[in-house]
Amino acid sequence: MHKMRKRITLSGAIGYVFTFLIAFTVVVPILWLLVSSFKTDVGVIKFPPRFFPEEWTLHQYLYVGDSIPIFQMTKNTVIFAGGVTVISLLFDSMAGYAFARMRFKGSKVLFSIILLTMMVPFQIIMTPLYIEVYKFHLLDSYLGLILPRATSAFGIYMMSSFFEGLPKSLEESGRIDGMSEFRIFRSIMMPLCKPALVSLGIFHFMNNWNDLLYPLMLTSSQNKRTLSAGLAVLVGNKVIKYGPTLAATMISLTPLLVLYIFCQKYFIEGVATAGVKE
Amino acid sequence: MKKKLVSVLLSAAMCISLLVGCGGNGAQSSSSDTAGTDTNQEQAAADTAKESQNAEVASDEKVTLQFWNVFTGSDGDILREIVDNYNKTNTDNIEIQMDIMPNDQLQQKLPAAIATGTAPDLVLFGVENIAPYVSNDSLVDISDFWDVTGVDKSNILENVLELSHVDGKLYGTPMQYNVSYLYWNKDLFKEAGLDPEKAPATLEELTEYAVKLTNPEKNQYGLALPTSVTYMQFLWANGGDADDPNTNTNLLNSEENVKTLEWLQDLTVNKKVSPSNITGPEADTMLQAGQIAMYMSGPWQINGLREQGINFGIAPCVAGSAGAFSPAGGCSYVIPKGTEESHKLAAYKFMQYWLTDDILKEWSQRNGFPVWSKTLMEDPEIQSDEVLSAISKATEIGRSYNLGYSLASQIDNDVMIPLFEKVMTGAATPEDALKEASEAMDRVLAQ
Amino acid sequence: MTNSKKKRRYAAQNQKSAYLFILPSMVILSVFVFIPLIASLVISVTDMNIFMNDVSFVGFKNFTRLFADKRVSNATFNSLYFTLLEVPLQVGLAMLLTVCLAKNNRYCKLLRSIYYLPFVCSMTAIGIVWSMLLDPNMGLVAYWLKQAGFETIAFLKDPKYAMPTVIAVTAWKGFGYTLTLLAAAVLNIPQSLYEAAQMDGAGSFQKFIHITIPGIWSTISFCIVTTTISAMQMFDQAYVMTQGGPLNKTETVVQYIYDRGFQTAPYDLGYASSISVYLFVIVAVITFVLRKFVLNRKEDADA
Repeated sequence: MHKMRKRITLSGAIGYVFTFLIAFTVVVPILWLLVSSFKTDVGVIKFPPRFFPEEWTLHQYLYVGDSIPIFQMTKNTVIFAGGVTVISLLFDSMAGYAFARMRFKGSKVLFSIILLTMMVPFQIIMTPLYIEVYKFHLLDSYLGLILPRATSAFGIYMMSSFFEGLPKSLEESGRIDGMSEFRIFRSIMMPLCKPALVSLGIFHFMNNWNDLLYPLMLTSSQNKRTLSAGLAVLVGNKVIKYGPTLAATMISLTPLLVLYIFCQKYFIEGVATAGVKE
Repeated sequence: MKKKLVSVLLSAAMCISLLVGCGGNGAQSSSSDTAGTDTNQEQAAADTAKESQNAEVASDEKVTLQFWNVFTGSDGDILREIVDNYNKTNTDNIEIQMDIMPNDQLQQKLPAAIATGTAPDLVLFGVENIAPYVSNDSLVDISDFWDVTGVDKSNILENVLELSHVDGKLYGTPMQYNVSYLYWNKDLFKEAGLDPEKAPATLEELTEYAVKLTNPEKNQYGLALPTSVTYMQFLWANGGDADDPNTNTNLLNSEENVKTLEWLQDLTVNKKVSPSNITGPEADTMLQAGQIAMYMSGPWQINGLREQGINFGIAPCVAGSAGAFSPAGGCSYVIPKGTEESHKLAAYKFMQYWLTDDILKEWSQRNGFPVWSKTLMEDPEIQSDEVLSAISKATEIGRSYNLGYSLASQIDNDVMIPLFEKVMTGAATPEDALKEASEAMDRVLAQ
Repeated sequence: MTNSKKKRRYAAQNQKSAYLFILPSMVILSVFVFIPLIASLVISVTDMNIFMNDVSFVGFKNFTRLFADKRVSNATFNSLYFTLLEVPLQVGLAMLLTVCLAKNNRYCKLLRSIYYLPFVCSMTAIGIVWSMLLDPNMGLVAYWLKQAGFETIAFLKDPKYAMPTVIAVTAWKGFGYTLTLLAAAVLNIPQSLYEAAQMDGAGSFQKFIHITIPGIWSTISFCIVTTTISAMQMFDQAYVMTQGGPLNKTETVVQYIYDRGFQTAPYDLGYASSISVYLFVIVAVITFVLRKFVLNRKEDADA
């Protein structure tokens, strides 16, 4: 690795301005959400609108805290989203690995079928799924929430396209050493796909964390409800109270942001190691 | 390849058996239910005779009721308080576990739950849902409610009670009732040189006031007209209508309707008295922010307006050549099919509790909903409450719009809302829009 | 080169373990996706509603009804319109930014994580924030535009601009994710390839075309296919921001399915299922065409 001297060229300058402008449009709405969750009821809908609160208040957060059992719901969400993430990372990467690096009869057909399942809008399989989970006596249980999501077509597809991108020589050496397929997968492949796993993991965690309809369908009591489903209750049926809505949005967002910042490190590291290995 | 085919066939077979199994279950449970209801009615009659004994028997065993409702937002907080209080104070050893969910999600979950026998024991939802649920045999007929509980049904206003009936049978007990009201911002009236204590009473006055109160400079509008709702009050005011649910006839094609829609289009497209293409919640927000002078909506506005410190008045919807009317709505407690008999009786107890004047009074006072218990209407505290008396008076012009009609939501979504949206955005002339709507209405009614 | 016998034995072993590798996923997908999917296929030829009472077979009646239904064609148009603009916008923007940011210095890392922020938020949250900001009467953006002397645009309220606005917000939410995937793929390309090209005297554009693009092609193809599929299923965005309006200009196929099946009584699940079968076929065809095209490119690149 050698360091390049910093030189500002015209294209470089355009690049900076462009990337900075985009970053601005990303940050402003999210910053607005953050500061607006500290506005008073009057402040949120005041006209003319102001970016920052004139009067800072924790009222909206306290209101949310009073209305729903945040901790129980957070716990449920962590179990649900965490469980789904861990299990599906394993299953997705196993299947993705097989489809990308192994040859077996029917692999093309099966893979196409898996792709097809991505095209099904959830709304349409929802009712049959509910009946199934009911028949398995899994309604309103963590298992019932996690199992149907324990693998995903998206994850399999993503992992397989990641594995496809890896150099062909990798597992050959393992095979020559007489390693079993599972050992090759575990000790050669898995360490390499850390960045992909982290990014898929965030994807799964985030999707399930934010999902509203699915957990609401499959749970029937408030103490199994997830955070986003619980927070949806704050938005009035006939009237939207914007203050608590914004605070609730921040509450469900914060853990994900923290997680992302935390994972970001591994993510970048993973990428670097994979690059160096070659 | 063959294996795959087999597995596909296998899973298809499984899924069919799953469906058939479920269909069979549904049929079975519903037939056993109806049989159950008959014997239960006899039993219930016997029960009332020895009610005191029964109460003791019931109190031995704790009954836990699952209760789903759509009361998200701040009125849900008040409902929860009342339910919590009931759990603490009731002597029948009943515990109600309340689960609030947004209306859309409830509508997706409840039918599947009823079909699989996992439904709650008690549900609270809008009265417009009762008819479609009843036509799918999903609610328990509770016509014996008055006999079993001894609640005096004559104390409840007839038109309120009517909303919980389908074909003469009772399927729910009223929880709240309301119509649409005209809210006006007194401060904005004053600024525009209008009498702040006098709301417009006719369509002409409404137009005149709305124009005077519109001031684009200040981003202020005279009358908010969201495009996501229907305006039956205007059609009715001029003697028009949409359909007759009793005879399945289309009443859209009329001179009166053309006249009303022309007036409405003039108001929104030419006079621009309303922010264009807004939704209900956006109009609520603008009303609360003091950007809107007049708005027609339900009682749920009251608390928000109070919190925002808006100086507002409540009046009945304005009159046209045929009088003043306002579409009625409300919520009722219902019992889904599949609820056990003991749970049904426990649910009756809670419904009975809700119908006591104390609870109804608390609900009305805290939420601003009109009062419909006759004894409560005489209550001095209610009578001296300015908002409640204004709102109760404005409730008198309530008129049912397709309530109890199983095609109601389809007529709304496929015919009426598109009609008003097209007219109010100027996407079509009133005649064309009406012609198109009338054709759509014929298609819906033909089902 | 090992001898062929060993290779064959090895291949058989390999096959067996391959099936073991995909077994858990296949079981779960079969039970929780295929079966409900086949169930909805079956439902599409019945008159079942969500109460599931009195189901009878109606043949292809739902499908003939579907092709006469103006809202289906309108929704199909909207879904295609959305997909055709959203996918290039999201993937293209991400590509462009990848070129700028596929380095591991602090600025690039910081910006990449900033861009990722919207993706972490739920669509509901994004929808609420943007519809509040873009509200032509009360919103900050409209107010700022007005203060700056611009003609106000009603964004989500104007039939002309509603769909472009929804598209922009969707791309805004998703481009960071696409960028992260692409950047990871670019950083995974061995540095030695670039150095070799450098020695051959290749310019940065040539390096981009001949090394970067082929090197990340499977990721690009993955991004295009998945973004297309999710764009064709667009629902949440419009559900939160426009409810399909104004004048049904943002009503997509999934939204209409939802409306028929779960929002408008008589909750016609049979009809809703037939529309979803129709959508399924459209998406499958699009994906097939895309993958044929995309995969061909990849094989070219490999060769």
